Amino acid sequence: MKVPLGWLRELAPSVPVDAAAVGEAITLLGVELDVIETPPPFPSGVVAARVLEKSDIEGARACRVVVDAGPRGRHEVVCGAHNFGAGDLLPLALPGARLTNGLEISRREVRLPRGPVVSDGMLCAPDELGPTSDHSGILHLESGQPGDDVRPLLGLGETVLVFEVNPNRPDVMSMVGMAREAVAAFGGPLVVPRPEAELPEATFPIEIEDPSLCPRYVAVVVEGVAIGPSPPDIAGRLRAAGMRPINNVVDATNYVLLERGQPLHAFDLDRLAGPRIVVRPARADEELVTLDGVTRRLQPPDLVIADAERAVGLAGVMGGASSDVTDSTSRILVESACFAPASVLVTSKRLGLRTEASARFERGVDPELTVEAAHRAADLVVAWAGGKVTAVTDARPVPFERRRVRVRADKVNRLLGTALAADQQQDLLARVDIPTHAWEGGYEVEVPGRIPDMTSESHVAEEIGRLYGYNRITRTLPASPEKIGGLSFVQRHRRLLRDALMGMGCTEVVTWSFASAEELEGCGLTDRSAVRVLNPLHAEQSLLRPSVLPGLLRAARHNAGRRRADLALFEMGIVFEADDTLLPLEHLELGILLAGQAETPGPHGPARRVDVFDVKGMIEELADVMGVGGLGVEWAEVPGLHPGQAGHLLLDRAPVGRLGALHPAVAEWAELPEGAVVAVVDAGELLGVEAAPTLYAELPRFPEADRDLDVVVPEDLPVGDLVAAVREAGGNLLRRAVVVDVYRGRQVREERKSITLSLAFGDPERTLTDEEVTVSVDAIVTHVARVFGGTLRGH
Amino acid sequence: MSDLGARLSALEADLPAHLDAVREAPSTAELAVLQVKLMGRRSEVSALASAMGSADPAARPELGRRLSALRADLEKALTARRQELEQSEREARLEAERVDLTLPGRRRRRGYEHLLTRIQREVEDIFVGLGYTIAEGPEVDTDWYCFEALNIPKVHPARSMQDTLYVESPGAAEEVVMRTHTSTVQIRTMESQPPPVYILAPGRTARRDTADATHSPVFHQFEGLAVDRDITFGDLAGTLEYLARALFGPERELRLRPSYFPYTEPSAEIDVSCFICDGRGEFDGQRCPTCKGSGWVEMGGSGMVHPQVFVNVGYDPEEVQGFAFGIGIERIALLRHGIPDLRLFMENDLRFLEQFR
Repeated sequence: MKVPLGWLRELAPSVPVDAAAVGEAITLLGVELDVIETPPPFPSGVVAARVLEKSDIEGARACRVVVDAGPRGRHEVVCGAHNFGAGDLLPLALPGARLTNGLEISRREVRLPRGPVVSDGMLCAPDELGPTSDHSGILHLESGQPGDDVRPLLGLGETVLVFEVNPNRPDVMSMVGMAREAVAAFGGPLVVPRPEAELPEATFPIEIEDPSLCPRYVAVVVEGVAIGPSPPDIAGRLRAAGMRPINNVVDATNYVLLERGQPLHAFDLDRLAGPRIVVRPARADEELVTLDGVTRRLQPPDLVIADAERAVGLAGVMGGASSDVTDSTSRILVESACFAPASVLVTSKRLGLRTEASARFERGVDPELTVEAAHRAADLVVAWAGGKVTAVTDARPVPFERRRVRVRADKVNRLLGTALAADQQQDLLARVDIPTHAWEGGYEVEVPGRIPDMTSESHVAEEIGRLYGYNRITRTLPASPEKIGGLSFVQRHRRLLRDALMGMGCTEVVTWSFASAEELEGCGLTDRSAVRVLNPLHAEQSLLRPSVLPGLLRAARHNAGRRRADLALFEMGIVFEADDTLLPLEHLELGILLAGQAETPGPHGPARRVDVFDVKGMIEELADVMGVGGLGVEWAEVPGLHPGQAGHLLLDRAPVGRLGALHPAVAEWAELPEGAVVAVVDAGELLGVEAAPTLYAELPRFPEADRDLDVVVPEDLPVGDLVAAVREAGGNLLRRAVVVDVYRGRQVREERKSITLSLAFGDPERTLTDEEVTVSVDAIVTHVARVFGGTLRGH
Repeated sequence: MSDLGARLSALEADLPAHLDAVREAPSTAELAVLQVKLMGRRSEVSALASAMGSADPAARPELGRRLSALRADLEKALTARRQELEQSEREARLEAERVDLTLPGRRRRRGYEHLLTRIQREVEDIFVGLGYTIAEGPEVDTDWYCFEALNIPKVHPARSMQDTLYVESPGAAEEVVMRTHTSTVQIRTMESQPPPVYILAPGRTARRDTADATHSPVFHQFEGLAVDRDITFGDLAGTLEYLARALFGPERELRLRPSYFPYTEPSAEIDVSCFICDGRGEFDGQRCPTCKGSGWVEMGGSGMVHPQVFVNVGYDPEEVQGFAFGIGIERIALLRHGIPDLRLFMENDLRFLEQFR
């Protein structure tokens, strides 16, 4: 909403000239100032001047003109144009003036055939004053007094405050509405021009098919208008408020739109079939060429204005081209109507056609304004274009009645935290012309039509709050003793998981919730159970991510491309899976990606490239930190991962994720160096469950006996199977079995490998004898020999 | 016996030379050799000691005393020299073990928490301290939780304020959306428990936007909700003032500005005095770029829970009152850390992430 400050001050004379102060005050009342447009510095020094004498100069085309510029004195100028006469009010650039084109005016001698003549200023053409190329003659001023600065008269040089209006404030979609806010802030009177026209008895036939879509329709017929330009100050004012001047009739309707917030439309009555106006839903596929020259195909329930034969306007959105006012128009019908907001919103949205009118109707136009706005427009048409009002109709199938809202003053105070007596509250409401009445429980608000959504006590409380001042209300904290803050187990463990990962050197990344089918394919995932976005703006947003892996690869690629190829990244976030439930399944997934060197290479030792055991070790350590037991890895072919270096992560034998080295094809697609490893885990499973506190276990009082065991087994035997067998055979006395070395080479036969295990034996109640330990070791050796054909190294 | 006496006398005569040899031994190793030679099993001292039993009983005490004195002298000298040599040898070794301490330390690689997570944690901790719990809900939710229950009906101008991403759903009974705000969680929480409610709902949200410096299709926010018998607008203002100062410093001012949200009434926009120009609107003689000269920066929206929202979740608006607010986490990060471009958060450039320790 563009608010020319001069116009605002005409309606609210007590408002200060300081635009920033006005903007701030209105902002704090809830209409946010966006920007202040300050006028360009030129033209300056141009004033209105009345022509006293005009005489030809012998032998020259120019004329000599004597003008009276009121307090700025009399001036004699030489002028090349002749389109004026004595008594006309013209723009005079005084010596020292600067024009829009930068030209500086000075007192000078004009050399003419019969000798020099002094010219004490210059009369100006439109292009010398404003944004136009019109140089056809001297501009005529339609208003103002000699000596007045011409800028306000021409709408130039107005300071304009631009406000953002929230959808709940139709009441400030007008100059009068903004002035009401300004008065609430600064006090003083609100000066609203009242219509004066005497209205005839004659009427014009109007039919409204569906009163719920159009509760009121006022038509005013003016005959004998002469179409021409509007007064220049009016044209200037419209321009300053963001509308283009068209002609005196259209400008009159637009002026009232801006002043009151009531959209109006002027039809050329002679171009309507009738005499009749019908307000009805469009017929299926009915066509209408709107004012902008576009053919619109309409559908019910689009609301149209029709004459006796066809649609001539789109109600509340835009008029039709077939009946608009032209230079030859002499009889007009001005429409001032009330349309249902939802109907206008739907139609304007569907057609993608948003206008000053639709912006107002969709928020709700004051139904109390219909008649007054029509009369005001008639006044302005008659004043600017001449003619006479010959007929008026007020079709009002649904009379508007003001809503009454009962307000308990103490409820308002309880909501706001204030202590305002009922009469103080009523006084505040009176500042914005909201009438109140006595009611035993407090007071009753009579809601003006301009505030359609004031239906409840809480809305009245908001009104009182903003008028009292939100920032004057005492600030407190909720006093309830019933609130106890804290994090849940899952929330605490999520933090623990993140902290553990960071402790292991992983940096957290945050990536989009989206993925594309192409991207999923690239990293070896399928989009089969991915959730589809119905209205994506871009292809990359067409699916909800089924995994954090694509995002991790994206982050890795970004950094690898910037010479940061040694990476340890993780993301923990929600991923989605389509299901036959209303909402897709959401899982918290943890993804880890390691690439490049495991440690920063430096003077203390050689670097080491990451491998799959780095990421496996991290998962093992995380499980330990989170108190999750039963973790295992099962060799498996996992799409997107290296076939020999990947597997499923198991928790109590159920799959909870996957880990491995990236398949070279995926690494290539992701533009990552080979050798990157990843793990993707259902983080929900890793968080563990809330358990009873750990109970102390007695420290071993008797020393353990350690034995190292070198077993030679077939090359293809997984070490994990060997360890499991050793544990099984070791019985209760075997406390630990740890793999310390795997050897392949000259000292063992081909297709065999030697595994060194460090075994610890113990009993909580006594010290084991050497013999007992030897029996256990022998049992292990025998078992391994039987199951795997394993032999002791050196035997 | 005289033979024993003569041998002892000879040993005594050699003593000064032996003591000199001990004192001059150049290393602990050579000292050990010397000790074996002088006092070892095959030394003259040991031989005399074992021969002592065959000595004349009358002379034995005297001979024994002389041998003991001689052994004591030797032992004392050996011990003294050993200590001396050990001392100097350790010093030499320590000197040889000198390292260049200006070399960098051997550090374990550390990880960094993403700035958005860190701010979320900070806000969570602030509200846990104020007695709130942390509530969560799905990132994809129904039209009801995202709009209808929040008093945002389908044909409402407020819907055009948010461009929503719709998601395929098998039922099609109800529209399913990526939540445009975490206000969904206030409805879910109130539906599931009786008042009082004091929750903070942080989380991820999405809008139908193209990523640029100031827009992001995915972003994070937190929503606070307090519902109790007598929660007031003053409580809202006090809570937000506490938050603003906890996040941005004790000298920050809070300003609430009337605004409009369908799910609150009264509604207020949250402004915090600009921390770049300290609310003056000017910085280095120029219009402050952060607050655009207004002295205030906008943080989010807030208000008293709309009575219709209470009705929608089955609370009695006559029995309870409440406030709610929503603030963007990216917004806090942008303002507090002077980050110029929203895309930096999702780009995950380590040079960016590692700036925030």
